[in-house]
Amino acid sequence: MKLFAELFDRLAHAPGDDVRVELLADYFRQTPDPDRGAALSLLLDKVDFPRLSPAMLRKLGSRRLDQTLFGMSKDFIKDLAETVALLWPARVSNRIAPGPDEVLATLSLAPRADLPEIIEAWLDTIGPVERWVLLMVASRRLRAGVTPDLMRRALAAFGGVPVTEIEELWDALERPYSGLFQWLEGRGGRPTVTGVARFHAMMRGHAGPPVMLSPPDPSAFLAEWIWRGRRLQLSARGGRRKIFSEGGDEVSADYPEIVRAMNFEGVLDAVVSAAGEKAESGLRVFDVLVDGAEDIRDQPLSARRERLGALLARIGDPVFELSPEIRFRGPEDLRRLHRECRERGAGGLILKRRDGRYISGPATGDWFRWPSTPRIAEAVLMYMHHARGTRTAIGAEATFGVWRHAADGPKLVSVGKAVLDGSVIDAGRLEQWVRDNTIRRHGPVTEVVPALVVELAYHGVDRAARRKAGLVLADVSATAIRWEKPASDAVTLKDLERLLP
Amino acid sequence: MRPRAAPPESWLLPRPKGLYVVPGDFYIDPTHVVDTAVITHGHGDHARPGHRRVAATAETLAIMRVRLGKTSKEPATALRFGERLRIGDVSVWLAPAGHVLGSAQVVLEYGGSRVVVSGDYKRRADPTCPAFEPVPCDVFVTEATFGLPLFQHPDDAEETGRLLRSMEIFPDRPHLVGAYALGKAQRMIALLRRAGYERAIHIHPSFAPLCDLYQRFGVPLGALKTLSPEVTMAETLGGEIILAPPSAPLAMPMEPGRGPVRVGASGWLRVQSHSRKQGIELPLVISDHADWNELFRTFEDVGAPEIWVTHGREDAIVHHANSLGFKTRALRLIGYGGEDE
Repeated sequence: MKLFAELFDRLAHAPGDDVRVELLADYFRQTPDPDRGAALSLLLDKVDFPRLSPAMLRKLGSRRLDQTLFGMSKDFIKDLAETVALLWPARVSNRIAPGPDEVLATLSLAPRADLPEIIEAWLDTIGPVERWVLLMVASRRLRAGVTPDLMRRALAAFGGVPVTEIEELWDALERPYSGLFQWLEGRGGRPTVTGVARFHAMMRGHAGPPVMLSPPDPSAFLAEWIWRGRRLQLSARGGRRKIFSEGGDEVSADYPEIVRAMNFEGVLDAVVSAAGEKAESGLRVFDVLVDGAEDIRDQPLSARRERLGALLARIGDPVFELSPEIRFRGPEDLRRLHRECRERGAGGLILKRRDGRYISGPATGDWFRWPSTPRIAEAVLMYMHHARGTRTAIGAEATFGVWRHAADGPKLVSVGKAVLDGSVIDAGRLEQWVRDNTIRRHGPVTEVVPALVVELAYHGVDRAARRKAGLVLADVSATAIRWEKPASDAVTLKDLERLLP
Repeated sequence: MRPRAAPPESWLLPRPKGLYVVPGDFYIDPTHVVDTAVITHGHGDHARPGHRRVAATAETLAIMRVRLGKTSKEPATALRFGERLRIGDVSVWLAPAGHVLGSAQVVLEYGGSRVVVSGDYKRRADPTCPAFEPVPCDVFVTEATFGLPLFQHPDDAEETGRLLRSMEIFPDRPHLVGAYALGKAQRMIALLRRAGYERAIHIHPSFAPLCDLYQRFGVPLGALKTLSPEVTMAETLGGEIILAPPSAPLAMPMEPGRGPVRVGASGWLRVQSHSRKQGIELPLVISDHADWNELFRTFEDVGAPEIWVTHGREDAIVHHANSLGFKTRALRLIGYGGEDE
């Protein structure tokens, strides 16, 4: 538990993802199986055991602690689990301190009623930081900014392999991940994944500067719209149906309707539009990796598109819409189309070499993205959603609103969210401002006085029937804080409604 | 039980300027200018400039000279530990407090009773100053900086090991340890030396005079390199340890992953909400103050039936000491705390 507690403590204080990747890779080097695999599961909350409730925790604390001292300490620390961990008067124990694997295995089998007793016995075997981490594990609150994406990067760094290799294995791996770690250490072969519907790392496009387009020969390049939304891989093989996100996480549960409609055999590359708005959800399919049982990634795009057309015709379900090829004659045409993409609800243009293979992983030069030029709007900061386990502005997601004029005066309605990026935001000043202007907190969400104007760049406006505003900004990023502007100068909902497609 | 002609609460009084000793007409660690002061140690909140007469250890007086220019208007009185000085009707002597170089407890004997004013103190071994010596007394006047049971400082060698381990994980980044100029900086250096770290340690220019002073008083700190403000540190100091005041602006790239690992060293960093606030990447729980258990161990070691609490968090101490049978009193002195933790 000691190494794991140190890892968690350092992750919780890490200033950025690069640091987290190094910390995780180092931990995997220092820790044997099966503990490192259990640590991976715990950090990603890929576990299934009953949660130690705050009531249980309070009871645990009251068994051994002076209530007055406990209360005074809790007032200072604020956090209940941390208070119990730091104050715990350990009794002499002849038990061995548990490692992550023992903790995970024991909790996974324990009836809920036995939790306090099990945890009390463990608390006597370890030091205060480990106690805190153990209580966070048991309460299922172990938050240290580790996302599946970050974990895959860390594993790739640990093994010195491209992250796509990890992505392809990801869905098929299970605790304790010993095969994976041994392969990454060079002590075993690459784990094999066969038979089941598995993830194939996605091909990514270059950010194509318009200059490369100088002789865009339509006979060599195919043009498509860049669809806004979430990129998905639909995998239906041997009776198993799975939907994966870009990093290889299975997200089938988010799209039950699509899963039901997957009456085909093969693997498709597609984009589902705007965040779960059912009425508008459209699925645009633009590539096929596996057709039937045949992996056709080595075939040229022109051939894959033909196979894709035939496959979608066979399915015959309107859920699967082919992302159409856009005809163009030359650069002039392309520039015109690029200007039009916002009106068509697209995030830009993408050009793909017709003779290119489907190459997994970082941009290879065969696909070129030309995103639309963003529009600018000034909106009002309404809420901050802090990243897991932090109170910092950088990495927090902010909700922004614009004015809707109603009979009883202007009201703010939220129109979108953006993650705040340290390169454009003065984090210290913003954190101070948020502290000074907090109205209330609900868990990770802080509601602030609607007084701060932020400049947003966005790539379009989508209808969103379920939102108060009736619309939502697409691909939003915060580009500057307008400290000097009064909130009343922010844009109105009417301004944005005019931009709806 | 000795008869007490004059109970201490009649002649040792908390006043706005500090703790006042009536029969000697002097203050201990006054926060304002006075005629006569006995100073426990050189931190700015305890050793103020401008008093007329001052008595303290030679080390504390030397520290005051470095930091304040001079100790007092009239020549100061340097006291060795155990050496008696008569001020008015009071017999005064000093005993080691183990807080920083020169730090002392002030022992007051008057009217048949003995009072020990501990100043700031700690109980664990510190290579940079002599260890706290318990002096049996009737009243023990204690600080309460870490007067909550959550403060139980870990082993400092283990914390130092965490810093050295971090240097293995991030061999290309400098490790920037935020520490105060008097005490914590030299202790961190000494702890690193004791852990076997022999390379030159880079120090902020403002640390140089006190590090020199420590070495003159026989505390070996090994090779130190004073930073010049022009150095662009990222290029030259990857893999090195740098000590600087926590708030010092340094010309360093601050991108995560490339900039320095910001290391903190303080008892407050035990608590997540404190350590996460300050942009610290590696919080080390290393303190120059007694933790909760050490406070109570000390009360027992000095055998005083009566405990007076000067500054810090006194409510928990008073509650717990009362339950253990001590007679306790909160003096609520103001103006202390802050520089060293």
